[in-house]
Amino acid sequence: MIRFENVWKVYGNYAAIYDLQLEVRDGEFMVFVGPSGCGKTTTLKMLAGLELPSFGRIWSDDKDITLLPSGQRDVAMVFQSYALYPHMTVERNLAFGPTVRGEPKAEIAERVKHVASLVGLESLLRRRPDELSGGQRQRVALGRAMIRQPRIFLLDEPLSNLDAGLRTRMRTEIAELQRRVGVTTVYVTHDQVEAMTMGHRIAVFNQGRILQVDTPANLYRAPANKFVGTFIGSPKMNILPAALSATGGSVDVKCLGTEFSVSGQYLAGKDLPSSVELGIRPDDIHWTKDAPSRCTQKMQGIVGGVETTGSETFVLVNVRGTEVNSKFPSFAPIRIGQTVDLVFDPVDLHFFDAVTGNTLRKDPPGQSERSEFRPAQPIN
Amino acid sequence: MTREIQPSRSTELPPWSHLTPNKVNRWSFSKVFSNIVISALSIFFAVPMLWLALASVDKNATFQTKLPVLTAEHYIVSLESGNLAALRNSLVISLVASTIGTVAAFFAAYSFSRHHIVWKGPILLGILFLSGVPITILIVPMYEMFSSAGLLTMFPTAVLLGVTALPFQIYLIKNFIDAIPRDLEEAAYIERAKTWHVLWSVILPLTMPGLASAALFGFVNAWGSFLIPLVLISSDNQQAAPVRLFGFVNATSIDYGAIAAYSIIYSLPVVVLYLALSRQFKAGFVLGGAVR
Repeated sequence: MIRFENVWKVYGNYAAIYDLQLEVRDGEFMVFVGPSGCGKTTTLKMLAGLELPSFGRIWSDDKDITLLPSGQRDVAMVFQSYALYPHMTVERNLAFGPTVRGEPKAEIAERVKHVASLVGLESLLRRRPDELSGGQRQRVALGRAMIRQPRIFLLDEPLSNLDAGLRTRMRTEIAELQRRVGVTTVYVTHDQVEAMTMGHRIAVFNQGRILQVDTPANLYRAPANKFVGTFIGSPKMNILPAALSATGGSVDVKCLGTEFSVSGQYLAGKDLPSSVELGIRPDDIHWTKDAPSRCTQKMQGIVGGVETTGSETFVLVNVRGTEVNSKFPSFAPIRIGQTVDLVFDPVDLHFFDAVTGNTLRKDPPGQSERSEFRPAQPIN
Repeated sequence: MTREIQPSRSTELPPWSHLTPNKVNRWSFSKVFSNIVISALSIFFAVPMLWLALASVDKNATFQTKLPVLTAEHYIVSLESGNLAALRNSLVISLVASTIGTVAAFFAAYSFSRHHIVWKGPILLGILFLSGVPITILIVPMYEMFSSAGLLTMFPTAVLLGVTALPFQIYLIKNFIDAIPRDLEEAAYIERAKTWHVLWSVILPLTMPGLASAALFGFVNAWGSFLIPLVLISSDNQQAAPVRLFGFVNATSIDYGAIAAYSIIYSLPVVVLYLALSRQFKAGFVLGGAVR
């Protein structure tokens, strides 16, 4: 297990990492996600030994590795830039690590062959990096990290330089590879889709802090605060201003001209603030002509924009001055300027404190079965 | 392949034959003007070279450029044993100076580029300033030092000449090392590489063009140095070629033909060295493929 214990990274007066607490379990695929500059790469580099934490400790099992040089941590890393040696062939790039560690030549050649076949580079071993495509370079970087079985495998936005199609394919390949090899992996990305599809667990970073660490399903269903709610999921969750008033066992909600009450057991805490922000995902707001029967609450607005992806249509509706993004069936006959009725089910709502942004809900909306992480079994 | 695409040339006209091709006006004032200026400048620089070539084979060479009365005697004079030895001395001095300067500058440049050094900015500024100061202003104290230490010979002079090139070489190489992404080093350190390994297998190969330029600079700097060998080398048979060249000028006459011939021979090693290193220059910066 890898454990960050009260880790800070401070530059002058600026805290890049703010009192970080995190555990990465053995065999786990952990994803750090967040907007650029949120500290996820800094955290990764501290784990790699390339940055020194200003305060706090980093533990690997029971060993304090805070001050250990990166070479002695038994980590392998794929850099965002790939960091391939441009003057070496693919073969020598792959063999670099074992060669500097003085391993026997025959064994190195064997392992290079094995890794090359694993990442599909057999035919390119004699080429230099500048003769390779982006995807091939990415494979070399991956192969170079995989040539030994490290304690931890670190990947720093390895897919951000690839085109969309290749990114989708490599996403599955890397996740599949990790599950097969079973090495503890920390993966940094700013792309929430990558995080959701690849990780066993995801740590959402913002401004140097971890806001929530959870499985993809729980992050999506029960975001701990407004930032996580809006960051995870595409298109973004709608945030609507609302007023609350508690009456007995239920809570009355006023939001954009519609009034309804929800059962008090959904909401945590006795002293509910009177003004809150409601979060509702575009998938949970339906057009009246295409809505599940459980959707009872109605809003009316004017269509301000239509985005069609083919499989679905997202319509921006102006409801009393607030833009609400909602999912319509694909190629719904909708024109800009048209007045439409929208419905939603209050069960799908998220309630965020208007000041702190923290969630006020107790249970995740929708179904609440949890998908537990099970470490991958290495196959040998 | 290409032949198939082309229309048969005799019978049919190509399908674009009715179109007027886009043409850029080849004559414009700025083009004509700049070409005239460049031509004038190149003639200005070519004339001395022409004189050098003609005078070296002219029996009656003077300082004028004229058609020569052909002879090889100037070259024969130039290749006399004393003159040849001076060329050899210069070669040794320049190679030693270039090697010492380049190696030292490589390590210094790496430290300046990568390590945290207190007062790094002012130190670098000082080095930049020093690279502009002619060493000749120090020639008198240097002579005193060398003479009292009994160092008025070829090798100590070569070392000093290497040092004079150092500031510029440090700057030159540092710029190349600055351009190498740190990721490459970090990737090596993660693989448990030692510092010397990183320097040797990662930094050095990628700095090659810079090292080649620095080495060439160090060589030419020492090769062309006249005053320092003249003052700091006491023995005549250790003397360098530029000093020997000056020997063709004496109180009563100037042997223009021999000067021209010896100058041409004297310039050859630099040309050869440049050609030998040109592959390194041409290779340019080979960082392509390292980062995307």
